[in-house]
Amino acid sequence: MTTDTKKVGAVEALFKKLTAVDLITLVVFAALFRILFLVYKLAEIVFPWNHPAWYFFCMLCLTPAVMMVRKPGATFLYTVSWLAINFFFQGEIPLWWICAATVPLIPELYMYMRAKAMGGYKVAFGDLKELIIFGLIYTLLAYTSNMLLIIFALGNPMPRVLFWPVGALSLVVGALGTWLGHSVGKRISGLVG
Amino acid sequence: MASPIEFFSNVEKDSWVHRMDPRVKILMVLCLASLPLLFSDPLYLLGWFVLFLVLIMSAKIDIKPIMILFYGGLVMVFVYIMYGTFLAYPEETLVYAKFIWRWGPLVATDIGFYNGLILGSRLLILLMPIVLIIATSEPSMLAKGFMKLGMPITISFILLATLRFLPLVFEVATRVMEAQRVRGLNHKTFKERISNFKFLLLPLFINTLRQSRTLGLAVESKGFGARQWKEFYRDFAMTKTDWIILVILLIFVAAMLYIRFGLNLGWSAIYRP
Repeated sequence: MTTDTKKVGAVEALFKKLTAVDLITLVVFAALFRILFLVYKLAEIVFPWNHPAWYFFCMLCLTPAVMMVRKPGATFLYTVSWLAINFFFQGEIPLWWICAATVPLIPELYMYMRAKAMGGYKVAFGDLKELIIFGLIYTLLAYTSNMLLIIFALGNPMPRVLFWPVGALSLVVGALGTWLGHSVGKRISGLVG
Repeated sequence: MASPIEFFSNVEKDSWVHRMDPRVKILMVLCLASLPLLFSDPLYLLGWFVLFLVLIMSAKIDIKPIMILFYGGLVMVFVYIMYGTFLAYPEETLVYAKFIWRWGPLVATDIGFYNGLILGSRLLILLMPIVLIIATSEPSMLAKGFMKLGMPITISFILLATLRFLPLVFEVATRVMEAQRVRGLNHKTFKERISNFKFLLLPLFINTLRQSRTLGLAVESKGFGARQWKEFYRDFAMTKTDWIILVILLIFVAAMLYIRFGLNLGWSAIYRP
């Protein structure tokens, strides 16, 4: 097996700070999200009102994941993980992958700027206020990408008027998930070590 | 949840899809799972369905062990059909309906059913080609295929790790719930299930993390991320057949784009409220 220790791609360099333990932590939280996601699936009959459940569980698992890892690229890799689970265990529409994979980029950028201003990722990812803003951005973008797929790509005739109330509820529920995830993250960080 | 062994029971079989280079397989599935989005005419959707069915059958895939893959999708398809049928369409749309059935506040029309059928079948058709790649590829070969297409090792590692950890999380969740039941925690009513959710969450998170992070340490101790893998113990290369499949795929994609945009065929209006 030959290796190249000097030439590392630009994308690879971005993730270089993440260790295998970090990656596995992110995968485990993504797996936990997909299991809790079953609630969303069962509630599909009340579409589109089942959507807020998606964001609640997503943020409930993403928040402790980033609190434990506290490194750039963690949100992106968490998203890639649950997209991979979708792909292997459910089947996924590749077009939506491109959309969904871009969702964490702006939240990542926000945390990067806050980490710079606050003196590091460890401080930024431990702050509840910052996490809630981060969670709201993620929820907003995820909701938009989901709706773009459902309404425009799949052609679902969901009344446009429902877009705003469901979106508002998703943001509230997403923030609630972040808040709960923060308290879970604080507890398990100490217990797992 | 199907066990991973059952899940990959089709991988060992031998067919033209099994023998295909993982890179060609990835490109083929990406094209085949995106192109049907351009079509909404039921006749063309039926054509896509038949095509995928033929591909799945020619790949000698036994659907039974991987049926779990379809459950989520089928629920979504059913919901889409129901949603399209019973959606509150405006009166100016209902004027064109040949059949109207009313039951309390629910109104079902032939237009709605037609809409629902288009929506549901489009979703099902988009999920079908994924089976081709999942059922016929060893996960490690798939990861290598992604790496050879230029995907970073970090993401390839994540793709493989998801396959390992989802069953583990299911296992831990079942164990925690059984332990709680033995200790007398009642999950009978919906309200009780909600209020007991918090008792499940923390042990589930902690137990799963404790079990999985040791694997991370083992991988780390072997120098993960310090090197860039370029060659593999079990390597693969493009064969003549792979190139032929790739050329056929390109011709097929061009033909579909011409049919849809050049000839403006394959599109049927979806009524919107």
